[in-house]
Amino acid sequence: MAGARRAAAIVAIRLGLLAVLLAGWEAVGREGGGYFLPPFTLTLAHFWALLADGSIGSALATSNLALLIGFPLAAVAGIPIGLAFGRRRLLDRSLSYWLDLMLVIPMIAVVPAIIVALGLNLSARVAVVVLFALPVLGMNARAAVRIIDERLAEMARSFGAGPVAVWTEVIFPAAMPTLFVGLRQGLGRAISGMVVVELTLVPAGIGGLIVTYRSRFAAADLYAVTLAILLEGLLLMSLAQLVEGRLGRRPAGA
Amino acid sequence: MLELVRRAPQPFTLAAAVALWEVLARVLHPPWLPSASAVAAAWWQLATTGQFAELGSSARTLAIGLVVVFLAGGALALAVSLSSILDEALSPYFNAALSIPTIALVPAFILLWGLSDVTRVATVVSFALVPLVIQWAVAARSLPADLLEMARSFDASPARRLASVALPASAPVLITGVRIAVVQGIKGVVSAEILIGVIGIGKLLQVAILTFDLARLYAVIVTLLVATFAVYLTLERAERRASRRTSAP
Repeated sequence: MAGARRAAAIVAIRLGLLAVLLAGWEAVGREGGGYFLPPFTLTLAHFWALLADGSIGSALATSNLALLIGFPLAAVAGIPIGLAFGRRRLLDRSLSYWLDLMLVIPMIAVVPAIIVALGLNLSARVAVVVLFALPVLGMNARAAVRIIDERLAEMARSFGAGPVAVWTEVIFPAAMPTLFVGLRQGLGRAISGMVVVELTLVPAGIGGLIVTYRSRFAAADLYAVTLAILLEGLLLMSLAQLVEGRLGRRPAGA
Repeated sequence: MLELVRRAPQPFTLAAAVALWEVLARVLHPPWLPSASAVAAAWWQLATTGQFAELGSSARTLAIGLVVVFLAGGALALAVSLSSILDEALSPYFNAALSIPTIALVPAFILLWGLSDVTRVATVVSFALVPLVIQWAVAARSLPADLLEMARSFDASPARRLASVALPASAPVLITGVRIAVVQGIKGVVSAEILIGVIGIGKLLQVAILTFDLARLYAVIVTLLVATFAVYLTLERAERRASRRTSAP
């Protein structure tokens, strides 16, 4: 009974907060929002219109091309770097601060230098996605293999396992959960990177749409497109959480 | 010498990276990469002509934003740690806030509040608030109940219990939260200024881009990166010191 009341309270708070937020947006938009804050319902109407005429779809397709190329590239480059740092102490102490640095700095400030080097094109967008995602992929891979129980590796070796077998049978299985955490966080940062480069200098895809609507002061369209990006982020990250829950578990006995 | 390199290799690899940059830029002469020495010269010029004063406005806005973040974040973290119902009810919102590309909100903020400080403060808050709440809620939940109980039985006042038991015990996790919030706040203020384009670091970058002054562009970027990393390392050191003190008997 108490459990049911508790669950009801939780649902009530969740839905109540959502209702308050949306009703507040609607009310402010109708009363005093003026031109720059259209009410929620109007934004939603524009969202459907842009979805129906294909603007959002084609922009999302353009944007996600950079993500589709950049994220796997970042994983292929970042994870081995992190693995090497995690297993080689001297290398780690000498160079892993670069990953720290890349993780901490506002990467958006580096975008102009990337554009100067690569131009206003797809390769620059891919490069920015890679730069955003790589450090977190590397750091998680590093953490994943640092925490491995050395005694397990030692035991495998004394039972005649070669270096390859130690990696495939001991290190990777134990590292899996943390590697998947890295992939999820990396995906989140890759999406940010995709948006950042389009908002700053390469007016393409969904960020390009935002820049266009902003310069036209088309407020409802701008909010609608922003909503589309946020929804994509939510969707992809929920998917990543699902995959992480399925595949990122420590196998039994490891 | 070799032993010194082995013990503290970072300064040496950093120096090697800068040397490599200088050599590459001088030998290959890529049109997009100014040499390290040219960047240093441009930096000196920026510094001596007082251009970095522009960053004062960024720092001030960041400070205002962080005060808002710490006050609101502290209240939220406390509420969430006191009520498990509230905690569970809000968790999908926090999860969603961490999943969305926050930067996508900035154009909407610019449309709403224009070039005023509100735009930048709102960006700082949107970048830093939820990560701080999550970290500080961990700190509030992990308070040592036994020690607090003992302090109470020795008639310590609530203020005394907070100052002598609660704060020292949770200091490392609290400082971790501060570090995360400050780093996120810097990302927020820089993002806002770059998208606005006419204030603070955004103005410095914009001027360098429009005049095709690559050395200057790199000088601004490097300054920003070094400053951010220095802040991060300082907070990380404070965190380590606090956790050493906590774990000491």
